[in-house]
Amino acid sequence: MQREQTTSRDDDATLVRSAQTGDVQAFDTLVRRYQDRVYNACWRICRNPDDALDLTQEAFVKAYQAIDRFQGTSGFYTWIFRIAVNLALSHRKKAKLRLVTSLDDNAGPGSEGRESAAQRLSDDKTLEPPAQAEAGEMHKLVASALQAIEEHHRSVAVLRDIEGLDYRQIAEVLDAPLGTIKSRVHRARAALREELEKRTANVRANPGK
Amino acid sequence: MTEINPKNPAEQLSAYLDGELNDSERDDVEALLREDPSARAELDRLREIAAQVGALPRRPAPSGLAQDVMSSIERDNLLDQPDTLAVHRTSTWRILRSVLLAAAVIALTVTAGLYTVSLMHTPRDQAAFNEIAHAVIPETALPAAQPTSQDRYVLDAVRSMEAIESEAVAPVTNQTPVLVLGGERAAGASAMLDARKVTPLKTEARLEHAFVIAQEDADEAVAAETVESQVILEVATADARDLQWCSEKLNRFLGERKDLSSVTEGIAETLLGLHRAGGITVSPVGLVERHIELPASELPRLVRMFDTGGTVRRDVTLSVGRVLRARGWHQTRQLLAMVGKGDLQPTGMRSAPTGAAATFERPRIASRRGRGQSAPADARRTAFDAEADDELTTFFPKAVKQIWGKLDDGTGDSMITITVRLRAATVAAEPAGPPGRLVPTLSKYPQDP
Repeated sequence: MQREQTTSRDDDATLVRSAQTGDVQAFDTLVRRYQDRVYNACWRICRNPDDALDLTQEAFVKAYQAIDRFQGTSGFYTWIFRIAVNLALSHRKKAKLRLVTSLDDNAGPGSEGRESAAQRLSDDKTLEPPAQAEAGEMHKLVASALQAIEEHHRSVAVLRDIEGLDYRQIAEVLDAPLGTIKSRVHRARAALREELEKRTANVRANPGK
Repeated sequence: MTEINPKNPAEQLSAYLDGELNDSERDDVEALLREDPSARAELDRLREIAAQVGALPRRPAPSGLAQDVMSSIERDNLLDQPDTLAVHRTSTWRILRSVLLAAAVIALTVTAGLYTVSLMHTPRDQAAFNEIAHAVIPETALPAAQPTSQDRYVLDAVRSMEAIESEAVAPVTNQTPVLVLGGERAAGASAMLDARKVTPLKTEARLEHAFVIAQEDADEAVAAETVESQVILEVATADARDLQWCSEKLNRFLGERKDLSSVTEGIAETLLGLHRAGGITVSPVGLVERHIELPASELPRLVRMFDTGGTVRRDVTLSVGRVLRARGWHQTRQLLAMVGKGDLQPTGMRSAPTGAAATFERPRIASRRGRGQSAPADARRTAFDAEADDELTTFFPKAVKQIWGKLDDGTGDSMITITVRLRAATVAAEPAGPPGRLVPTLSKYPQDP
């Protein structure tokens, strides 16, 4: 695993150097290599597939614009995450209400067959968030708990437990001291536990709902 | 008993789980785990939570994302080359002239006859509008032929513009004509009106009263955007005095700015009185839109979103200030390009994904269609009928409350605008005489209480 990471990082560094000399194809390879992970992290942080798409695109475009300034002291992966997560966090602050308001959810009689607002907002039908994506009941509970916790806790939970970044990498991405990250990781898990317990108790009290 | 990081031993457990402790710290934690069953239980629970989060399904990036990124980058690269830039701008400007003509006409439609309690009219917007409205219609392009019968429906656009100019200081009156066409036909008609080559057959006056009820989040720092809804009631009448009467009554509500219930009920009562007196129809358009207010600082991001192409929402309306409005992806993109180049200076922008407009359904009502029978598909544009007064007095306030409830979850700014759009129209037999005359008819207005 370590060997694989090292190889990938070396390979990234080669691609970055090529991109710095104007090789657009090399940057394209980097985009394709990391787009899924960046998109997924943005989605988990900002909670909206359309916004996640915009943010992922923007992150890569920004990365390309700044590629000359990339020194390679950290991996490309950490760097692109730093750009994307910062964009996502900044976006979340601005879009707080938009993301929690869904005009068509729980529509009443006569709504059958109508598209949801989210569906109409999206050009790309493949983006539509199939409820199936969170198929298992436990997944639903965990996803819901993850969305409920504070943003800076959610970010570290996503970066640590979903993306598998180590504390040093998370500290680089979030531009925070290592001690702060250590503390946040634990608080995130504690908050998740609390939210999960609430939800589990609720499910038990209202089975079938 | 072993002590580890007495300030927060649980934190050490998390770090242990993640392999983030040094040798000494790890020894301490392992000693604790050997001695303390509760520490072992805590570690198991933390491990379980980490595993549960880690097991959440991954969502792959939508297909085409990489392509869009690369297209955007290539476009940026092209635009950075000075030689191609000049050509690009020239051709873009040609396209813009035609696009902005349509945008200007649409803007007229939107702004004429409209006033809200929160006017945001700015001289800068006005200047931009005037510049475009005049610049994009060269004299040579004016059509010499008489307008078609359809075009005669158009009113005096010049007067509409005057109305816009005075809008910031005074509400429009029922004598304010409006331009009611869009698209290519409107472009030609607008040019003809500018040259005063048209005597309209039909005169139409329209007023809009907008009741804006806002909920502001206490935590303003995180609520830079506002979710806004509109509920529109369209009132049509042949008698201009209906408009005056309605306008006066509704203005009281505007002035008083009551709470949501009293405003909706007041509107309903006002319209119902007129409806009972006969001669008007009231149509709940039921438009609910979510506008996203964008500060000018967000502009580069918006421009970039559009530049990436392909994945940006295409059913978008964009307004710059209150005057310019582009509809659809292409117009919006062109408008943004202009703004991006500094040809226009917006004071703020508003993006309204028109596709997100959710219409409220009329409820299942007991009417002559039969109890429990659902409303027809086009119900939202169906006029209230005499046997369904309760729709106006009961359903309308209820619908507004329902929409408000969905918006107002207490987590940020939200705003609902209840617009009463009043319209009177009369058609003269001959295209003679001055335009814009509305003929008063019967005295039929309900007495004010």
